[in-house]
Amino acid sequence: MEKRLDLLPGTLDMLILRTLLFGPAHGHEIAKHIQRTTDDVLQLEHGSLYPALHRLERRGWVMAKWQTAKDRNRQFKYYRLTPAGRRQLVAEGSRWKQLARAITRVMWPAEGE
Amino acid sequence: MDWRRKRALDLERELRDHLDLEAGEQQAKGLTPEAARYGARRALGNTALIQEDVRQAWGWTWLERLAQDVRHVVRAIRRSPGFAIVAVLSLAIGIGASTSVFTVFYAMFLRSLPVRDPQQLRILNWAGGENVPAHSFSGYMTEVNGMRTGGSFSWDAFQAIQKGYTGFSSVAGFSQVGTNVVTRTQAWQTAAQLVSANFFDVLGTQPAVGRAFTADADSPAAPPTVLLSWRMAQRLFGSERSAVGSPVTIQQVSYTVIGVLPPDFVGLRQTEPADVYIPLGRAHELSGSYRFDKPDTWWIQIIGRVAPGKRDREVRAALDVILAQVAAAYGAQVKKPVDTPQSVLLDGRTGLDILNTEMSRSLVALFAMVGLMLLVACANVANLLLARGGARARELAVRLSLGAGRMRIVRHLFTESLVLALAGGLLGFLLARLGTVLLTRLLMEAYEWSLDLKPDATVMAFAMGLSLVTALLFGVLPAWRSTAVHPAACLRQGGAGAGSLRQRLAKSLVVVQIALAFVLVFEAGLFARTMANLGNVSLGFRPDKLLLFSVDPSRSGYKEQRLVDVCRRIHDGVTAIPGVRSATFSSIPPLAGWMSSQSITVPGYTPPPKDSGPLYVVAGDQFLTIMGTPILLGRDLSASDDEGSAKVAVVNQTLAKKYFTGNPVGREFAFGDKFTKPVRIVGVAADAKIHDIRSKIEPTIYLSYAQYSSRLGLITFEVRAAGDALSLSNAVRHAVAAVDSTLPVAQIRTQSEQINRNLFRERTFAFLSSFFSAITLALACIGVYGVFAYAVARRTSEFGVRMAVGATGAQVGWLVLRGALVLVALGMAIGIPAALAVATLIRAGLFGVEPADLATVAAAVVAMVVAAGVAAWMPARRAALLDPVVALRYE
Repeated sequence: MEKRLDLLPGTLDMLILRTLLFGPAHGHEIAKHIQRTTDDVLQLEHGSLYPALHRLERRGWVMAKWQTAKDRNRQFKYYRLTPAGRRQLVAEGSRWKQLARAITRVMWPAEGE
Repeated sequence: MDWRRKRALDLERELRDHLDLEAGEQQAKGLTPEAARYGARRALGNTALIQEDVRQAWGWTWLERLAQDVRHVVRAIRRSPGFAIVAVLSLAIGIGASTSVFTVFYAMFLRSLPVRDPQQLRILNWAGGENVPAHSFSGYMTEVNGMRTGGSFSWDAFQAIQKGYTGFSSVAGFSQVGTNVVTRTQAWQTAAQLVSANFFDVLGTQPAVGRAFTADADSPAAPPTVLLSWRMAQRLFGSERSAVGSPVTIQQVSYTVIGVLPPDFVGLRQTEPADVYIPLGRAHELSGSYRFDKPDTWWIQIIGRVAPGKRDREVRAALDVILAQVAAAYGAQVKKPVDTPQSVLLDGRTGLDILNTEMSRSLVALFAMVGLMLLVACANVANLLLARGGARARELAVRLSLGAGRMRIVRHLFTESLVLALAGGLLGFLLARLGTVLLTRLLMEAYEWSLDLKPDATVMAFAMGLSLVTALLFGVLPAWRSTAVHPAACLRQGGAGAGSLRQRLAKSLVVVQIALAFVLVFEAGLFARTMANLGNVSLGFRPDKLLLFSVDPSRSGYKEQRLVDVCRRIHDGVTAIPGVRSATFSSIPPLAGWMSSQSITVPGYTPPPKDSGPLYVVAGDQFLTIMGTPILLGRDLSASDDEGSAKVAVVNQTLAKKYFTGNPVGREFAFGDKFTKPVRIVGVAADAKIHDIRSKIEPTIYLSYAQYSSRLGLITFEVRAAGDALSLSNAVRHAVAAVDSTLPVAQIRTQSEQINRNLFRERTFAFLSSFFSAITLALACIGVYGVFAYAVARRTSEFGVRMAVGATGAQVGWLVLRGALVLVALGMAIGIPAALAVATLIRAGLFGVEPADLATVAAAVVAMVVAAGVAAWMPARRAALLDPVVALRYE
C-alpha cells in the first residue's frame, strides 16, 4: 500500500457532493466510494463523514431519506444532492481547480504550460 | 425538543448501520466476527464525539449549554437559598417601585388615547408676542422670555380654521366649563366639555348607548342635546339605558340626553375628565357674563386629524395664513398693532395631560428616587455575587484547570445573574401591582382622575427590560472578576487567592451605596422639613372644627338681588343647624390655591410698574370674626353693608402698610386705574392666608357680598361646628336643599382636609421620599453588613494572632468598626456634594428650608453613621468575642 495522505481541510464537503452526483447513497457507500476512487490514498476517517453530512443537510445542499436498499431488505439513510448542492459543487469545484492550478504553477513551473 | 430527540435517535441508527456494513465487509475479507466489529469501530472513531459534532452542526449546543447553565444555577440557588432570597428581594423591591412609578407615568403621558388612529391627532397651539390679542383667555398658557404659548383660540379663528383649507382631514373645537347639572331628583356640580358637533367623529369614538350629535347640533336653533359620560349616567339615572332620552337641566335650559359614552372614554384629559358634553353652539347660554364670540376672547381649544400623507409643516403653513388673516381683521377693527400668532402642532395621541408639567416633573423626581434605590439594590446583589465568587473560587479554579474556557465560565456566572434578575423582575412586576394601587391612592386622593392603570404588555416589558439592565449592572463585574484567577495559585492557597482585590471591589461598591443612600436620605430630610414648616405656618385664622362646602347659584340662574337672597337664606339655614356655632361664606375657598385680584387706585400712591393689584375676597357678614381673624382697627363687614348703602371694604394689614400711611380707616380707594366709584375702608384685619399656604401674604381686600354680588361665582361656605365638623355634612345638604333642591352641593370637606389637599404634592413627596430612603438605607446597611461579615470571616486567623500577642477584644472589634466608618466617611465625601447638587434641582418643591440646609446635612450624616455603625456592629462584635485559640486553628 502507498503512503496514505490526510484529507486537506475543507475538501471533504466537495468530495461528498461529487460522490452524490452519481445518485443517492448512504454514509457507508459514500465512504467506500471515496476510498475506492482515490485508490485508498486519501485517509478518510469514517467518523468525520457524519458531521459533514449533517452540516450539508442543514445548509440544504443534500436531502436525507430513509429508504430500503436494493440489495438488502433493510432501510438505510440515503442522501441525495439538491439543486442548491449541485450549484455549490460547481462553484466549489472551479474554486478548487483554480487553487490547484495556481499551486502547480508555483511548484512546477515547467509542467503547467 | 421532540424533534431534536428524533434527530439524535436517527443518528444513532445511522451510525449502527455503518458499523454493521463495515463489519460485514471486513468479515467477508476473512476476519473473525469479533475482529471485524473491532475494526469497524476503529475505522469509525469515537461515536460520542461524532454525536457531539453533529449536534454542533445543527446549532443546538448553545441552547443545550444554556439549559445546562440554568439547571446548574437552579441547583446552586437551592444549595444557598438565603443568598438567593436576599438578592431576589432587593431586586424585586427596586424593580417593583420603578415599575409602579412607570405605570402611572405611562398611563398619564405615554399611552395613546383609546380612539381611532391616535397617531393622526394634533393639538393646535399658538406662539406669539405680547400683542397677540388674547385679552380674555381661558385655558392653558405659558410665557417664556416674552414669547407666549397658548392652547386656546377665538371663535372667529376656530370658524376660519374649520372652514379653511388646512390639510387637516377634520377639526374639532372644545372648551371645559363648570356646570350645575340637575335632574328631577339630583343636582351635581361637574365639569362639562363644550364640543363642536363633529368632536366625537374626529376622535373616532361612538357613544356606547344612544347616538352622537347630529351635524347641526352646533347651531343655536337646534334642540338642546347632551351626551353623558358612563359614570355620570350611572350617577344620575342608575343605568346608561335609562339615561338616554331623559331630560337634564343645565343653566336653566332643559337638554335631552341623546347618548352615553363608553366606560373607557375619558376625553382628552384623564386627570380632569369631563362628565357632560354639550354642543359648542350653546356657549351663549353657558358663558355667563362674558361674550364668547368677541375676537379678543380666546377660549376654544382645537384638535385636528392630519390627513394621511400630509406633513405637519404643510399643515402649519396653511394654518399660519389663516391665523394671520384673523389677526389682521382684528387689527383693522381696533386700529392697533397686533402680533400675528404662529401655529404650533402638538402630538395629540396621548391627549392633553402631557401639558401637566408639574405632574410630569413630580413623576420624574419619583423616578430618580426609585432609580437610586434600584442602583443600591444592584450594588448589593453585585456584592453578594462577589462574596459568593470568593467562596466558589476553588470550584472555578478546578473548572478552569480542567479546560473550561473563561468565556464559558463567565457566561455560566452571568446566567446566574440573569436568573436572579428575572426572578427579581417577575416578583417586582407583581409588587408593582400593589405599589401602583398605593401610589395612585396617594396621588389621586386630591383629584378625580380616571387613569387606566392595568398593567399591560408594555409595563411587563418595562419590568423585564429593567431586570435585564440590572443583570448587566450587577452581574458582569463579579463574573469577570471571579474568573480572573490563576488556577494553580488559587488551588494552592486554598481558595483565598485574589481575595484582597475582591475585598477592595466590594468596599468600593459599599462606598457607592452609601453615597447614593445619603443623597436619598438628605432629600427626604429636606422634604420632611418642608412638610413640617408648612404645618407650622401661621394661618391668621382658626382652621379647627371648620366645615367647607361649595355651591354655585350663578350657574343655576341666580343673579343680583336673588343671588344675594339665596346666599343669605342658605347662611341662615346652615346657622340654624344644631351643632353649628356660626357660618359665613366667601368667593374664595380658604387655602385651596384660588385667588382673584384687581388693581386699585389710591390717591397719593403711585404703584411700581407691573404691580399686580391686591387680592380680593367677596364675603359674608362677620367673615373675619367667624374665621377667627382679629380686627385690629374699625369693624368687620356687617349686614348693614347692603346694596343701598355706600360701598365699604375691610383690608388687611399688609395692604394698609403698602398703600397708606397711618390709619387707613375712613379713607378710600377705587378699583381700576381711575379714581371713580370710591370704596371706603371701614376696618383693618390682621394678616391671614387665604390663597395658598406657601405664598406670602398679599395685600387683601374683603368686600361685602350684598354690594358685590356680580363678583360671586362658586361660593364656599365656612361652617364653624361645636363638635365634629364632618358629622354635619348631611344636615348641610338638607339645609341647602330646603332653600333650593336643584342647587348642587359640592366638595364637602373640613378645612384641614382642604389644607391637606392643597399640600398634597409636598405630603406625597415627604412620605414617598422617606419611604424610599428608608428602604435604600436598609439595603445599604445590608451591603455594609455583608462586606464586613465576610471580612471578619476571612481575617479570623489574623485576629487570632493579634489577640495572641496582646490585643484586647475591644481593640479588634474597633478595628472592624473603624473599617466600616472609613467607608461611610468616603461614601459621604461623594454623597454630600451630590446631595447638595440634587437639592438645588428640587428647590421649587421646598418651603422654608434652603437646599443647602446645614441642620439637614447634619441629621442625614448622623442617620447614615448610626445605621452603618449598627450594620457593622454585628461583625465587629463577632471579631471582638473571638477565642484566640480557636481563631488561630481556623483555616
